[in-house]
Amino acid sequence: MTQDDDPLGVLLAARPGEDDPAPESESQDLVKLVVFALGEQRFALPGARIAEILPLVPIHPVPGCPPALEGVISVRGEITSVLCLATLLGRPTPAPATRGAILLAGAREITSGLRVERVVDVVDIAGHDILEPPPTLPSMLARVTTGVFTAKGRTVAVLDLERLFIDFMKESA
Amino acid sequence: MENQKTQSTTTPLGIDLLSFHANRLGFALERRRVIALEPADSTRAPHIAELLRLSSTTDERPAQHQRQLLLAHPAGALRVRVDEPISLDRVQAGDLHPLPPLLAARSRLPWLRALAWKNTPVMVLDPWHDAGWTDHWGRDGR
Repeated sequence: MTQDDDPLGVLLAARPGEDDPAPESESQDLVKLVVFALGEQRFALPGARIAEILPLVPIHPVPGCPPALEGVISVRGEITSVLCLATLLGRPTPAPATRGAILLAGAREITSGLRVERVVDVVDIAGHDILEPPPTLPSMLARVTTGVFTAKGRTVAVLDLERLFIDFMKESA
Repeated sequence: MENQKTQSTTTPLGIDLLSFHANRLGFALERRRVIALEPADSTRAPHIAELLRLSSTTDERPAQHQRQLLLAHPAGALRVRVDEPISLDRVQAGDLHPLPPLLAARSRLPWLRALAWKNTPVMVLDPWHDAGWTDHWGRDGR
């Protein structure tokens, strides 16, 4: 197919691809984690997977998408999708996106925003302080949880971003 | 001949898009695929919101704020109604974006191929790229 046949395709193919964020070096078995809240529960994602913590900006809906895919935003001229993490985890649907934050996260050459209710902290946790997930976790959460730890008296579930993305994409089948 | 070959592999700097609205959302089509922009005088033409299976047409604008596009396709021409405002813009390559991967994987919006950004996203439709969506083509006999 030549440019004359499909100039739109040529333009799209010429754009650079998305890259995984470069993993940060972890010293002394410390893992950097971004801790955030969904309702009363605390979750975390590896800091190496979070490129940026963005303030909540208007999310523009795209019709024909599942509820968890809330729409798109422009991040310095690049368009990225935004997932509602609560909906993705099968938790109660949060209030309309009037407050919160967007984690710009990347895994497997996929970058997407993740809307969370509140970013609580960025912590360094020793690897041995992250425990196996308890068997009592709901199945949907157990599937995407790699471990748990305690911070300020609260249990925090560490999520597997890659698994979240893969599962979300697989649901299209 | 050599020059022609070089031209066909050069990335264009931009593309002409005809932008319009449906259900208060911004959409666009490649200008070269639009044969004519007409007054919306025919109720026979489907509204593009129907073809895109948008969930609600209650936001459809009154007829005086609609226009009709005559679109070209090898399978035949198609008239569709769209909502104003309608504009023709040269969109630079840097303002044209492939669908984000998760959106590409899960969107069920027919014909959606790319996004442009004009303060808000504009969904670039490409019915000619989607072999499964030729049902409506060729129904316009005029």
